[in-house]
Amino acid sequence: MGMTETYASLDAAELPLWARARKAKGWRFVQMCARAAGEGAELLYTLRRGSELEQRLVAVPDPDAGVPSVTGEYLAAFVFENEAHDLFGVRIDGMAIDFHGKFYRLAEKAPMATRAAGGKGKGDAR
Amino acid sequence: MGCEKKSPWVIHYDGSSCNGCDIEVLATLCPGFDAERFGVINTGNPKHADILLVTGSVNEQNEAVVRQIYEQMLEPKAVVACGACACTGGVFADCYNVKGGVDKAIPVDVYAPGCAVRPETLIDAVVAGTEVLERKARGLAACGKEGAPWA
Amino acid sequence: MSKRTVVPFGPQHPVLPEPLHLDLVLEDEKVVDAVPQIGFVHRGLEKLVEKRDFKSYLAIVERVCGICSFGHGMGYAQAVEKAMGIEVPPRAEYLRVIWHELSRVHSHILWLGLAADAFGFESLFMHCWRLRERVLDVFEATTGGRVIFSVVKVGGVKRDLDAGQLARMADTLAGIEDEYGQIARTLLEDATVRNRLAGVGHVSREDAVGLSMVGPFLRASGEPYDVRSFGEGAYGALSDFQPITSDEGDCLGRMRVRVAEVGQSAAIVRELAAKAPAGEVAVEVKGRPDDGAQASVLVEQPRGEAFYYVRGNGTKNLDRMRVRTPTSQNLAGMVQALRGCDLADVPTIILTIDPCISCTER
Repeated sequence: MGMTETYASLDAAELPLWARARKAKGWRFVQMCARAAGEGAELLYTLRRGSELEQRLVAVPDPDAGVPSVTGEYLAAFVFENEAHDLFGVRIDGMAIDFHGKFYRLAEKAPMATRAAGGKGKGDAR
Repeated sequence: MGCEKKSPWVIHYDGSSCNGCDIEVLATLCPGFDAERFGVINTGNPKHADILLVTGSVNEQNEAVVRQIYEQMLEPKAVVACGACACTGGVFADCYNVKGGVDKAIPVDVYAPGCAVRPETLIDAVVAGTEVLERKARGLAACGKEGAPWA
Repeated sequence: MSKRTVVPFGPQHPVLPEPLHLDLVLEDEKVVDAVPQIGFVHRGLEKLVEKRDFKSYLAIVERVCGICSFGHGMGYAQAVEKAMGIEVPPRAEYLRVIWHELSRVHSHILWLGLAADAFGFESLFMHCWRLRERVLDVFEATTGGRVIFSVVKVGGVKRDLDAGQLARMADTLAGIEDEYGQIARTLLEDATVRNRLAGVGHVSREDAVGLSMVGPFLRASGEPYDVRSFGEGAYGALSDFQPITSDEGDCLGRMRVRVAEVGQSAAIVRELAAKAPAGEVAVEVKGRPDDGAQASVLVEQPRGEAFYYVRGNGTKNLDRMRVRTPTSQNLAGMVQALRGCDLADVPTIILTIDPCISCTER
């Protein structure tokens, strides 16, 4: 009992084939998210089969280069792919439902793409 | 005492609340706290409302919406900022998509603190809101302005 | 010949407690497509990890949503504990699950009231919320808060529950069972309710799985997936746990699943309250998450599977915190459920997915 998770890297170009292969073997889509990393971003894709989580980290050194969408296999990913674009400025090509930057309709572009230096915040634990 | 203090009708709008304050607003109107026994009714129509209860903070997207609801209400009207986020932005005050409390968009008459605001506080706040309504109504009558037919 | 029109729905609508916008594409009165738009409730709180250290950040995660607040705090704490290799005392695991299941009870009863109100049954809405107050009394008596409890912390929980409190909890649940049963029967067996809900917003099991749906929304289409089955934390101590499903796949099925889950959660609370082990309720947390330490956790929130991920960078601020909530996962399924329905059924269908927009937008 209990869940297990394994992390590994994956090339952006392999995403659609990986998604198709996994879906065929019964892996379910859990989520996708982005994280600011260096000049670009890193995407985390999570799939689940039974109690196993497969985590794949996709490096995106250039956010404008274009990452292939997985919505061909997992339509629910459209929410997270649009979010990765709106909040982190990562370009994702071929999204089945593409809001062209207007999913979140923010005043600031890609507000999470840059990271402030750590410091003392309000209400830090003593 | 004028009629403004009796049976104030409220309209509730969620700015960018986490829902905590919204469910407490609803709970205040439900049998547990039963603000309806004071004649408080929740209406969806700004033109029927005396008091605007706003939860959550103000951001780029909802600033115009909050203003629009406020402008549609007839005088005398009062605004209650429900909960810490509506008062000042709360714990999210330094988030990139939070401008601040409701007073960044419209004038606020009563600040009801809490995270989430408690029903007891909300009842107090609505009562304080009725005092504001009464004051404003007297002010309107004194000026002989429209909206005070008893002047 | 049928005409296509686009009707905007929301962000302000009497039936929606939260702002959500949908562009409904209609052919006559039938919805052929629905395009969601979010962003009204977005605060941008995931970026606050940069300004709050990893312990105080829990107060932010708790406030992602006021309805599923406890689960968020618990999921975040568990993810941090996993990333840092912290083992939480067994009693704390039990207390967390007890509070979490009570949270599910309050959330489902809240939802039941809103759903009844959405199709005009206001008196039942009032009854549900009246009953729910008794659960909130338990929260207030045991944590000090009605909605946001602030009782979870990284390393365990902040307060203990004594035998008397646990007994009163079980009593409260037993006390509402009768009335709750009457309400449930009224909703599930009444002919007018059936007319509004049966066959409406149908999603097949195949579609539900293909669209990655989660929670009661998924289980009502016959797919028995529930994170609690994996036995993490005190869920592993349950004598038996079976996900509740329905094969109806429509609004009525979703109502049936949530109604039954209240009884299931009450039974879980009673079982765990009776066998909670003695001991500490928290361990001291020293140090910080290592650079590159990462972990994720799944929690079965009232609305479905929620995913929590944290990643450290060696400082007291996390590099990344991610919460993927059940409603954001269910948006694709919601669009599917809306296809082919009547315009008048749109609010009811949206409500039966139990949407939580503040969760989705953070």
